[in-house]
Amino acid sequence: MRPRSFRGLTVAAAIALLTLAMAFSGLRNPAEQDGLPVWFLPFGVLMVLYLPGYTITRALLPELDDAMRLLLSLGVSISLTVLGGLVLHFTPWGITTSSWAVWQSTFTLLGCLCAWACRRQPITGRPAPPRMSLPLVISLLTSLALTVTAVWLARESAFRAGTAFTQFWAVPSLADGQPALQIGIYNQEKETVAYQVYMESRGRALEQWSGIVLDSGQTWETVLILDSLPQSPLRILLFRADDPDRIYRMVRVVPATFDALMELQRKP
Amino acid sequence: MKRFVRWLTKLLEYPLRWQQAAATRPVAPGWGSLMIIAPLAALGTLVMAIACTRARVEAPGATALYWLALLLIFVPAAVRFAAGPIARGEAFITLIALSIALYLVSFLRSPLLLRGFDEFLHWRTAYDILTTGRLFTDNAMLPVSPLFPGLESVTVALVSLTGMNLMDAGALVLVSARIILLLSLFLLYERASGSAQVAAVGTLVYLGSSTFLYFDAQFGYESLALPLTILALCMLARREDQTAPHLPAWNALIAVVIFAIVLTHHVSTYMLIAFLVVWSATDIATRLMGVRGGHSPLGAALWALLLSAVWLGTVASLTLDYLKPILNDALNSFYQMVTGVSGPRRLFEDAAGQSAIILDRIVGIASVLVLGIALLLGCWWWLARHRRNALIGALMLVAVVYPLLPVMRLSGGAWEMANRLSGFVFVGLGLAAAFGLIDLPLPRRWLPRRRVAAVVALCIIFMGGVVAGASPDARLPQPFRAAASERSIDNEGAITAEWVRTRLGRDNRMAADRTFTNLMGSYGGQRMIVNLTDKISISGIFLSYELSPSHYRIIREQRIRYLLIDRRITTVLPTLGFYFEEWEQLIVPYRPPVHISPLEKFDYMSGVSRIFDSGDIVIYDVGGLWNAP
Repeated sequence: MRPRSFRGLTVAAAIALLTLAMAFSGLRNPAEQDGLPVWFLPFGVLMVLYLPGYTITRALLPELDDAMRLLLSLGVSISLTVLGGLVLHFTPWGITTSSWAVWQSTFTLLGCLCAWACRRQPITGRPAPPRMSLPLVISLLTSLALTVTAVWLARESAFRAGTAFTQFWAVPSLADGQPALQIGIYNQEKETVAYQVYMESRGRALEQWSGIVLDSGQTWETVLILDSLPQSPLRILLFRADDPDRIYRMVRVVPATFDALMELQRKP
Repeated sequence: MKRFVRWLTKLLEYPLRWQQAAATRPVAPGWGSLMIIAPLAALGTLVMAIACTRARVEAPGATALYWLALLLIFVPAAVRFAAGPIARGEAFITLIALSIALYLVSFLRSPLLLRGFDEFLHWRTAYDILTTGRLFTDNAMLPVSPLFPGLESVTVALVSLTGMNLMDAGALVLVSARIILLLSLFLLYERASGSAQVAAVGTLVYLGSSTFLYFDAQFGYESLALPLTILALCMLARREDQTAPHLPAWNALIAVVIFAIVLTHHVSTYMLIAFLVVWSATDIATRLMGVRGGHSPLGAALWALLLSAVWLGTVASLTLDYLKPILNDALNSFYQMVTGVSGPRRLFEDAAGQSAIILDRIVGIASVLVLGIALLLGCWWWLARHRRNALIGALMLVAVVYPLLPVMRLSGGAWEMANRLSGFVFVGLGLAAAFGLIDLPLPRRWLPRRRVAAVVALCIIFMGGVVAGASPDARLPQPFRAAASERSIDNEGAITAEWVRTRLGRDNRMAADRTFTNLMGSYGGQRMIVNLTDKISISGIFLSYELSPSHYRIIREQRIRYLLIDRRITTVLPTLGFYFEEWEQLIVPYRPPVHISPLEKFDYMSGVSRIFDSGDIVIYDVGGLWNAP
């Protein structure tokens, strides 16, 4: 007979409490919409996809076999998360990192408490799964390595096959009623490039930015506050230092666009 | 009559005389061939990655590597499962390895970007939930998507608690869904048949469904709802012989899973209700035959029906308007074909008019024949041995729908419906075919040959599913081509969409060609002008040499703020016959591609600013035209 172990429940409870602590600590990954930091990833995955279902089924169905336990842990966790979205939508706090942490942790801790409370129930005998031999473990690790290599290779080749290009923009805006232009360059040429930006109106040079050197993946931006609303179209031209006579990219801002912006500000 | 019934019963039960001959070998403890199967499956994914790498640059050998990869993943499991009795643990872990490997077959085609148009639509729903903190946001391109937010809710929860990006989180949810799908099928079949081997082989047959490898692996609501549906069936099967102390717990958990299905996908819910009704009927029928049954699934059917009705009535009333035209078109088309009003569609030809290669045709036809024979043999064994089992009866009734699917594929309008039904019909067909392939008793001397035949049959079924599920162009990544549906999605377009979202803000009204309408409406977070929702046409704004008064009126009344032009469309003909809207192909028979001049007119208009230029892609701000005379 295999004795019941509460190690799993203890770990689940600890992860649930850690999730709550992280959610209310204010630590966030600003790159991804206020999610928890990336190092929390393995715990977060367990909290969404496994632990709520695991503890609930341990509490409600203590005699389940391992296969069914694994399946229900996944399925019930996902189902509870689906319901969580609906419930949280109707709360004042909405669907946020903190509210998800509360929802998932509540079910996980509830399941742990109920399972511990029922620990005096008779233990049923179940044979332990067969041990994994060293060759099998090596084989599984090899499989994992091959799979990770496959994903890495596919991502690398997809990245390399992508087109090389430069983005150039001039977005008109109104900053405290003042007309402004947000001018920017994004280099995705897969090499370092030196650029020059030149602004003119009706052939008259207005502004110039030279010696802008960007590595691939880098961005250059500036905000140009205009003294007054332009009366004629502004042309902003981008040149590459290695081909200075050819207009590489061109953007153009007309006065009517600023008029439209002012109208939008007045009545959005 | 009595003599006929007796004769029929004798015929049906004929194979039972060989049941003694097919004495089962004891199942060896341990993990069996997992040590070989897992690395071979992983090697298959590596070969698939190499195939994708070669396909991206149109290097030779990509297709051969593709099929080699699939066979490396599938064949070892097929050989092991068909060989003889198998331990549950070994089958379980093998199926988990298969789930992951076969998901990666789809994922590796586009590991950095979403790929299918449907995926973009659901990505947008997830993004809106993430940024607004609320459900039921507006999605102009697929209005019904936010009304079934199950998949997106789970994905958003993962993003929030892990810091992953939406795409990677979605991939993880889909891997989990795949694992649930295969394990639930295995346990459902095992429960029904009492044999782990039958269950394992039945699960492999399911992989031959045309939606398994690609359609149900995409970021779409059916990809989560279908696995949960099968999970619910598995739980109901398991609940059948539960006693009172545990019964309420099972009922509660089943109720939760059913609720999740209702919140995730409309059609899966209706399929679940339909199956539960059929199962309830077979349950009643077997009780009338004197069989002492377990707990009836009728309560679950009523619960699903109630939830579905409430959801439709309160939140998702749009669903009927969304599904009705699709259903009407399919039924009308099928009726017209059957009555001879219209001819059948050309087989082995996709929507773009591309014909399948000869190998695809042979495999496709062979797969249908093999499944038909397996189904017949499975029905025979069902009637001989399992006709008093309500669950098996219900699954078999689903399986016998299968012959209708190839017939429906002959009709242009019903082809898509046949494709979508495949994922549900194969739930029954898996068990039926497994009965026919390996469970129907045969004379002992035939058994070794039967094992080989079963492996060959499983491979044909699997390959048939691949062939039916995706055209050759869709199975591997292709170099970029403008105006070519999903082939027109590349990193430049995706990065432009990201720029639009971060620099221009969300929900600006924008118009673009078909590809960028999907890209900007999802990744770009914009409110795209689409005929489906806005009931206006924007093609003329782009394709005319000059804007007419009606074009100005559309821009003004619709408050269109931005126009996006992909200049690359001037270099190729559109694969679907149109660049912007479907009606173009009725009026403009593109022989040379569209000329650049109409697209460049905005550079000379006084009310239009050109605010973005990446060489291929240009964005115009047309807000200045709102007050134009």
